Amino acid sequence: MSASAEPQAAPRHSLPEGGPAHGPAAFLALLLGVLGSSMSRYIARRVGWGIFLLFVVSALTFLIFYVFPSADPAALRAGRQANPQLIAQIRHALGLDDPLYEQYWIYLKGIFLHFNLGYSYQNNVSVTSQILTRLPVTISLTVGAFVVWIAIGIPLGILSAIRRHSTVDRSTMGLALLAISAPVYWLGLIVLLLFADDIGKVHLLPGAGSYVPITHDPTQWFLSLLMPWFVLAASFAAIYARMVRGNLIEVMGEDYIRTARAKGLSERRVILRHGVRAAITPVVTLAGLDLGILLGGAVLTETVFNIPGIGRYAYDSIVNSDLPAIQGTVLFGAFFIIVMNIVVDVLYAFLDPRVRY
Amino acid sequence: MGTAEAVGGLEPAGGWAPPGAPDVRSRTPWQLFWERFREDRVALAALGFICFEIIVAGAAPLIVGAVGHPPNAQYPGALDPVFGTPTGPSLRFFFGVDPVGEDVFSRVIYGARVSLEVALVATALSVVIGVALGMVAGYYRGVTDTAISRVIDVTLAFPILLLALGIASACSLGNGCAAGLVKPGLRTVIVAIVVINWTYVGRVIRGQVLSLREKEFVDAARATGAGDVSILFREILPNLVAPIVVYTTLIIPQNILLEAALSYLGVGINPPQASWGEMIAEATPIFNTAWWYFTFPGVALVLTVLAFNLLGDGVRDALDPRAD
Amino acid sequence: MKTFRPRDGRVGVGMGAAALLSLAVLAAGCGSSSSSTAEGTSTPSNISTAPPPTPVSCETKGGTLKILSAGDVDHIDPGEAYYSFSYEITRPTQRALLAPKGNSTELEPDLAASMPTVSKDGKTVTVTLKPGVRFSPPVNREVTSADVKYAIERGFATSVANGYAGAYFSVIEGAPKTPPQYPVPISGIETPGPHTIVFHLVRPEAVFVSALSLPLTAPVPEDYAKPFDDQAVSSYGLHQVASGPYMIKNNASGSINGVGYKPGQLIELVRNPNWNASTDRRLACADDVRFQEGYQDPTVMAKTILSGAADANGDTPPPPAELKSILSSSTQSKQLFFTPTGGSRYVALNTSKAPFDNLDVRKAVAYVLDRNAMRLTRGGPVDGAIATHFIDPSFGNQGFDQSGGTSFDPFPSPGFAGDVTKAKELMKAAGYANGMYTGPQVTMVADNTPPGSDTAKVIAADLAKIGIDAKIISVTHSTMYTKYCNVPKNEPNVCPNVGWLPDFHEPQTIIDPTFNGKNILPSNNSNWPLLNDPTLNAAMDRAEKTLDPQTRYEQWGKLDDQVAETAAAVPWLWENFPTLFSSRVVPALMVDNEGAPDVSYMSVK
Repeated sequence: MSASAEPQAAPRHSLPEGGPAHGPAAFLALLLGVLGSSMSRYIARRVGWGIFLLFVVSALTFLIFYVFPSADPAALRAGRQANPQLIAQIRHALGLDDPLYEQYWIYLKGIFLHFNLGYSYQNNVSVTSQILTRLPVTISLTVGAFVVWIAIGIPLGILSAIRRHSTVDRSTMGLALLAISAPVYWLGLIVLLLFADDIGKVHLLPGAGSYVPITHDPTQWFLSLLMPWFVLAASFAAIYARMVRGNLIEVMGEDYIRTARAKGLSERRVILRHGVRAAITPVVTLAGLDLGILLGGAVLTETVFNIPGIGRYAYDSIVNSDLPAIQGTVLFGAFFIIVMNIVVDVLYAFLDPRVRY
Repeated sequence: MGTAEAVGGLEPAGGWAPPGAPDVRSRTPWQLFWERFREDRVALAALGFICFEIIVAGAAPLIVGAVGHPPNAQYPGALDPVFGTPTGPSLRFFFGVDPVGEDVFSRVIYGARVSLEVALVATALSVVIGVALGMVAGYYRGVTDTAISRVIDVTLAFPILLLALGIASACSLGNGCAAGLVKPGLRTVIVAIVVINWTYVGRVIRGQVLSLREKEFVDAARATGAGDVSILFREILPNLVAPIVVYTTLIIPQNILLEAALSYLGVGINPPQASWGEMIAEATPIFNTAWWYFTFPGVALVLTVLAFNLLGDGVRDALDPRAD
Repeated sequence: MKTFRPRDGRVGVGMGAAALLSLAVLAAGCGSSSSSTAEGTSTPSNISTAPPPTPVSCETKGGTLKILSAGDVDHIDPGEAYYSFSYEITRPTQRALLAPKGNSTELEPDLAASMPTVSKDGKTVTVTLKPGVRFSPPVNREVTSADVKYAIERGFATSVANGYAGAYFSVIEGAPKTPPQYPVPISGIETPGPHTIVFHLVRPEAVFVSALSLPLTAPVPEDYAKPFDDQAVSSYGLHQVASGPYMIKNNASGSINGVGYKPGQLIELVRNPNWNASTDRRLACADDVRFQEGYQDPTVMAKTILSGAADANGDTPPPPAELKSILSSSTQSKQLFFTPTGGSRYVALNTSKAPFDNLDVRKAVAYVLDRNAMRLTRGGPVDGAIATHFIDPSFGNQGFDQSGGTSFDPFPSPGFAGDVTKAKELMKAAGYANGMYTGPQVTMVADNTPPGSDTAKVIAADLAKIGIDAKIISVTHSTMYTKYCNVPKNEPNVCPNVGWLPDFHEPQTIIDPTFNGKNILPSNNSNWPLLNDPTLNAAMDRAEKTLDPQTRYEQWGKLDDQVAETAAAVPWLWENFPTLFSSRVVPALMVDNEGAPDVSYMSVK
């Protein structure tokens, strides 16, 4: 996903956790070509644009979830047998009878002045505090999975590229396609059914709902996350392996590799020093974007394994029609996506001198 | 990727066959493509499987009729009389029954219809919209381009699963949304998917068109007095066939997974219609006792997505022999 | 209250609802009486709805109890809580004026020193409080009658938004007609002394004394709570103090948020250091109680309890396959208890518009529904007896017997499997030539998760037998209520997943909010069929004021039958709730609250 060649940005959609990020914003390529100013101005522009994007995302989220709410928050709060006046009063107290733009303005003010995403309709707990207390959980899950998929995907990709058409290559790529094709929630169930210590065929690892914070019990934390890490990492590892393999094969055909070989360097050195380095750069970029998406919550994985992270919070909020919480999680997810996009773009500009900024 | 996405590695590296490159042996690009494609036995098998599945989905009423269990018919007799738990595969019910006593086999077959319909319709719409807007943005540049590109950026800044859930649940109420145009049910799911997916196509096509419009053959056409419409359709569009085909093959499996994920999370088709994602969701609370209920729809889902991914790999390889 | 605990792991709380009383009369074998007649369905012989005996002493003192749940409480504020799972927390932490006596539905004084005295005219109710009951930290002072008065007053404020204050306490003189934003004094509640509270009612109210067992009467210290209640949405719940043996773990400033309350994850109770055991019947054996939330998979929940890693299911029953395996084990089956919920599930037919404004069409539906198949979607006979009217068998001679018991069945069919012939005859009577409906499609709004979605599918298939094409709109449970079934102007033709639980053990709480025309509200309506029959309405209004219990039960029993005969709602299940305890604890449950585990009486063996 080099910033200059858009076609490389494959449709990446992440479905479920699966999905890798989209590349650096497309318009950037244009910008990069046209503007040739200093790095700091570039960063400032990117950040400014990121903030603007967040505004737009917040407005759209507001529209989608407030204008077509899936349940009436005032009625939900009032409980059964509440009379109409009570509901009207609650609607008023929650500001739900104000004009839409006013509600949105109040919401924005809360976010920017007090870093306050509002209060859950259900339990009146601050959405910000909920998200922040769940953040370590989601970080535990996604960073662990990240390590797993990098540790598996990249070496397998290199191996497959070097041993092209070998049995190793074929079986790796076959498995990779299978991993890419299996939905994470289904894979999660199968793994639980096989290995969970409550319902598994082999009672091996703690099952769904066994998560404990690392500060509480590091061993239990590690064991309880093993299955989720691998399940979440499966499709990413597969994608990365395929990507590394494809890139490496292509790179190995480049002139400078031939030059390196001609200089008499050992094949091992040529591959590792020159080939892999070039083949991995775009993968690193992609990894940053994927991490950004997942930090906003791995909804399906957290749901299947009952891990109390941000994704699970988003899911529960949707089920309970808890609008402030839904809005907060969407905004928070967008925040990470945008931040990681900026980080990746800036890093890329540093690393790749060909990129003009 | 989704889950796939697919593609990771396969990003159509670097480019499609150079547009307008003269073919030395004077075969059409299609002939060239087919020659390479038919060498790829895996892709052919995947294509075969997909054709088979399309036939099965199309002939679902006949097949299910032959078995004698319509997808929504309930057979309470097949449930445990005391606890109401479903029973597993048998000669009468090949894939067992679900907790209402419906035949899982019939429902898996009918589920193929939903998956294929959503995937194909949503993909077609995403591609048509993406190509149209991408072409307009890339060709006219300026304000038009800025506007379209910004919309794409904003869409891509969303956590897409939550965005799709939001759209789908907003449109699942009453008469749906957009003044009743988007009715609850399948159509809602398709719209949610298209809103997200056209952006990927749009971005790629825009990039292609940006460079194509500077090519000599476009200048030449312009010099002969061809109008914008003519240039777009006669000169540029034909050169976009390869990327369009590639992206279509990338998006189809993703769309199948996205539809299943939405159904799994409870938005999407309305009962009693069968969908694989919804069946897996229903099976989740009982998956360790009613293994057949999550296994068969799950296997059908994985096989279908796998087949489309394999086919996509084959198509890309055949279009761009450099890739592998 | 109202709706049932969610019975499937995937749904959160949404619209909460609590359940209250059902009678101790638990007709021996109510779970089997009607099902034994069902063709091909026999009740497993080892199912009993007898509760475990109420423990009178602790097996051991100390230890930790763990209760598992799928979702969170509806509201953490005891003045708002209105859901049976929430009562598992309010009961051990809050002392209402009255409380059920151990594992029974009978009420006894709790914060009150003795049962309330009611004046001859029924309009003055006097309660004396026990001395020596103290609030937990940081309030640390004795509870007085002013605290009870304030607790009820705050229930009327929109900042607190109690769901039942209007239904049971607006009969108090001076109760606000329009809800004030913040708590205001109510003139009809007097506190002549620190331990005396007097309620002046505008008219006699048959169920007022029973309503004093609701958690709204648990004391709230005004001096401490007022600043929280004066916010747009009160945050007293997050700073609540306890009067019972336990308190939600808090920090020095009194906040439970992030300490003992992590929404969707954990509610942790610790001992209230100011609790005086001599004022209370509760045993409070364990030192620590953890309600662990987020167990969306009921199978995992059941297995965890069976393994001894947790002690009881808080909001979700073990799934049918687990029940089957547990009941087949002679040891495990001793850890499982079925409790009548005291309520019924039914299918509401919208009587305000075609086609169900026609009595014959409704009767045809009542005949055609295969209630046995419907029950199988929720677990079959172990889940309870098939209902033929609304008052549950656990009410015994408090209305159930008076309505004809199990022998009253206005729409009988063999094995409860439905009678298509009879249904078609009625359709003909309604004017459909060959007994098949020919009008436009009808709408049905159902849960989008099993078992509710499964029940809806069965109902749709049954309706098709008389030509009614039902379109199922599937949404989350809370959306089903707040956007559709509770809102008459959006009400679909059929609400298939509704049900009602009593707030306490009076038949009025089952029939009146749900079928009295005066209770049709523009939103949060619970008269789902929109039944508005002047004759029935008048009879219900009369019964509300009948103070003599036997006459009252007679009246409600008869009304129960009359409502059932309108087929405005087709009852199909008198539900039991299964509660599973680990083998490491002495079980105790709230018979009046769907058999929810009662941590005040449980102890570690």
